[in-house]
Amino acid sequence: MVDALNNNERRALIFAPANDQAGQSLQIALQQVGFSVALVIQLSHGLGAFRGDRAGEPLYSIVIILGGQSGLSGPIIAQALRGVPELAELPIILVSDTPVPLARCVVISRLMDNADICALALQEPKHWQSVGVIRPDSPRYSINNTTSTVNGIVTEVDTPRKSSPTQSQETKEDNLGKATEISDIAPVSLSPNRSGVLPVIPMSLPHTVVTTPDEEFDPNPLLKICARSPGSAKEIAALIRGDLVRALNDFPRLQSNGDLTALSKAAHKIHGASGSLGAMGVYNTCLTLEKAAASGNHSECQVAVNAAVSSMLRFVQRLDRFFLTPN
Amino acid sequence: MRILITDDDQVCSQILSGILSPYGTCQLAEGGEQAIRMFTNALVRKNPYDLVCLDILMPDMDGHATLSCIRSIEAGFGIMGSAGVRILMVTTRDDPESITTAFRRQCEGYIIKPIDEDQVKKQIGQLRMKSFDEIK
Repeated sequence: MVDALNNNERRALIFAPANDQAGQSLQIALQQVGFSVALVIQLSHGLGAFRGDRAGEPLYSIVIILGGQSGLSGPIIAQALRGVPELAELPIILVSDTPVPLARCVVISRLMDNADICALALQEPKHWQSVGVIRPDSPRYSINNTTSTVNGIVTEVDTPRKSSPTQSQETKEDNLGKATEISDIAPVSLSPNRSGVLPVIPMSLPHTVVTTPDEEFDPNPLLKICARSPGSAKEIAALIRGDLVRALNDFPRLQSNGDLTALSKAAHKIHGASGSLGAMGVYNTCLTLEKAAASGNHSECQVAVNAAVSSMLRFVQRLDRFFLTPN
Repeated sequence: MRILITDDDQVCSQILSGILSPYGTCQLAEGGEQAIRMFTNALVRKNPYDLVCLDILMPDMDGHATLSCIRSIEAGFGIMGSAGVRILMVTTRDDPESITTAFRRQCEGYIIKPIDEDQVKKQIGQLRMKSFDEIK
């Protein structure tokens, strides 16, 4: 993992939540420490936004997925990346900005088959002694104040880290669950200028802005139905969100287990409910999955699961935005 | 008007409840067996339902079987023909076999999901239910 980060071709593919500065600030920070490419793709756009390799040459050396660990969209993306030939062998870092409960860690571990997870915020370090933690909400990744950001990196590079051989085992364990600095994933020597501030490297490299029609969820029919009780619209939205989160876990698991009968039923459940909420993207992809699973076609199911997961992730994001709106 | 909504999917139940609650009291059943129990209890207490909404694909007893069971129970209580409860199927199943089976087993209406408020109101309007007409 560290070798992959330290090689001369440091090129990161970052999946980040929409409307979140963490992705952009990490992008800047990675370029500050010598990454030649730091491409940000909105987590909600999933693999649909990924565009292959460059003349057969791998375009990235590492994948970093910010957020989505509690709702499992992060590990689902990671798992799906394993099916992309250009990305299949890359190390993947899952990053959470909040502690991830142990039960969820176990689920993520199973999803990822214990492979290549090197970052999660943890509440129970003894099960994850080899993992580090990055917190994208750390001020050092903020781009609101560029000077502070750069100073933060310089400071942290100069600070002894948990990898120091002089640290005791107890101290190492204490560090689990705390923030890891950018220098941990890409240790380089940074030299501040005379004023003690690193120059900001211009963003000369392309970063993708993916546009997808915002058609996953129109809350207006729901609000109309619930006009007499506005709070109930959010209760219904919470119900479908819970179903979606379970489905994000269940679909890939059932597909990989070959349990297509259960997969068809699970897709049917989401299909019926999502359509009634105007989430036609999820409605259509889950209908396709339901039919593929019912027909027993494993290869079609694989494609349909990926499409359904991608649309469900977008739906969850829309719902989360809906929750933030006043009643 | 008393309404029994039967669907194992809470999201669909809640949406239907939101649409129908202006017209009466909605009660929810999560499956066919629970619906049969609630329906029978209501008849025994002489406070029957006026409308039953039934999903078809449910884990315990499917909607077709539940529909047949409700009509059998009504027959046992001496309730026949138009005196019976109005039953509206609300389902994702859009195949002709499912639709004809439902009507053969004496449902009054059939709605294919996704649930559309206008469609539900139109279907219920066609059931010529007095309490609905009064409110409409």
